[in-house]
Amino acid sequence: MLDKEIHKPRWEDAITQKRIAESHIIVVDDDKTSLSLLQHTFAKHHFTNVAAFTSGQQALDYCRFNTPDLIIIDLLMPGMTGFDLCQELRKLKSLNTVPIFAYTALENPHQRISVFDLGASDVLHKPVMEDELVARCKLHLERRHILRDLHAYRDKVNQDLTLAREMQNLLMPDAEAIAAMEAQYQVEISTYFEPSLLIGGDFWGATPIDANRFMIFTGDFTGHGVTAAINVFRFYTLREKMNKEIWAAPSYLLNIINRRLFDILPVELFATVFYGVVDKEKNELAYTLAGSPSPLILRACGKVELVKGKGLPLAAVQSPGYKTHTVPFYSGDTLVMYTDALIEAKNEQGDFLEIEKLGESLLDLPEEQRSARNIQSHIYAYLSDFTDDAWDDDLTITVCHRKE
Amino acid sequence: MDYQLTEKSPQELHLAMSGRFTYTDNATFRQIIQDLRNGTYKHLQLDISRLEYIDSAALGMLLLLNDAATKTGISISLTGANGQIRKMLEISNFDEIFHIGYN
Repeated sequence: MLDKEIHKPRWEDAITQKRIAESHIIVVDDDKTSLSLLQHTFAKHHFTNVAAFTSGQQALDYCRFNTPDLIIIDLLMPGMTGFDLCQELRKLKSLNTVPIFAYTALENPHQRISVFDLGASDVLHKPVMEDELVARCKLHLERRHILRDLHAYRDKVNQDLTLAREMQNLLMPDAEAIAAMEAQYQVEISTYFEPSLLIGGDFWGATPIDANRFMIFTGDFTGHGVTAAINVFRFYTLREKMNKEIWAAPSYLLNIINRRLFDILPVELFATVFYGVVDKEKNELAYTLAGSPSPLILRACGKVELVKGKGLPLAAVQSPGYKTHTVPFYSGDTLVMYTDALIEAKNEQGDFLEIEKLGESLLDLPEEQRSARNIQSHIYAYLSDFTDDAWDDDLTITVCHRKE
Repeated sequence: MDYQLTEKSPQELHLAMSGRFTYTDNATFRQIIQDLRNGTYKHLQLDISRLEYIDSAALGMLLLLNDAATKTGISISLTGANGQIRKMLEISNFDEIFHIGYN
């Protein structure tokens, strides 16, 4: 009657049973009678892969090149004792998760228990009851198989994420594309791009439009990890579909992308974006702010200003009515874009990082050292210093400097 | 995030939030929205003066709240936006979506 109430152990299903029965078990005991008794017990319970050793040294040599699933060691052996063997086995990296049973007739409980300090997983009292031995072995073997499955799963997920990260990186300009733009428009572009997980919702881009104009943007989709990354792909796909004239019109482009994203994204997801077009002939930056923090402009004359304007994040509402603003952007000026990690950064006292102060600190760099690369490193160092290296969001910093 | 719901009248619900409002409050906040939809309220007053921090996921929750309120004809006002919360709401331009009181 009780049977229905009891959840049977997992190892009673056929596949697990088979895996447990095929597990590689080694037993180490100088007493051959004792060894054959153990072997007999295992055979009786359908274990098919049991090896026996009569000395600690033999077992250790074997384990250097083989990885058993379970090791049973008699503690009192001549030469290398079970205590020594246990300690030596745990030094092998390949064995750090393999269960080791100490098998002993020692009566002194302190001595028996001391073997746990040497890395044993369990202690069996000699002579052991057959059922107890088998039950404990199954329990430890099952745990080992579950752990192994988990590790394999984790490795696979990591591989997938690494691949996804490489794909996401391909969306953004590579070193070659950046170098070409730097030459074409006499600019320097430097980026720090680091998802807090392997992949995330941050993105940036820079693409030529025509002889005088290129666009540059940074953004951040809400959420972290896979969901956010998928939405980044959506953004790039929507943008790619449009022609270059639309690329050159920030608010027009974002209004269209907004409409599409609003339709496909769940209500609570959105993106913050700064999207700018630099025109080197007009010496102008045309831009739209969609919920993103205001970039900084470091002027050639040494003035720092925050880019003005604001707008709702992308996909927050159906018709955000984005506007394009313009600001002068001359040779020698530097545009500094960044994502939310910077404004959400907190120091030990609980104060938030102030962008204005960060901007002022740029002037600490000697004038001749205000390259895009140095400015980007400076901001990164400022953030690390301010938060004592503790910020937990995706971080993207993009700096674009017009050469004199 | 901690919160307190008070029924000011059969038409008006008062929600006072405190602490950190982040992605971990997703389930809680969705329940609040559900309760609001199931009620007969016409107005929701959201007192956020005792909130200490909000993240972008929390802004997303506010969008969800707005969406539900719009669909059910409930008006919302936010009061007491301060410090980091105020900054986040300003940067995101949420005053275009909500009536926000700063004090």
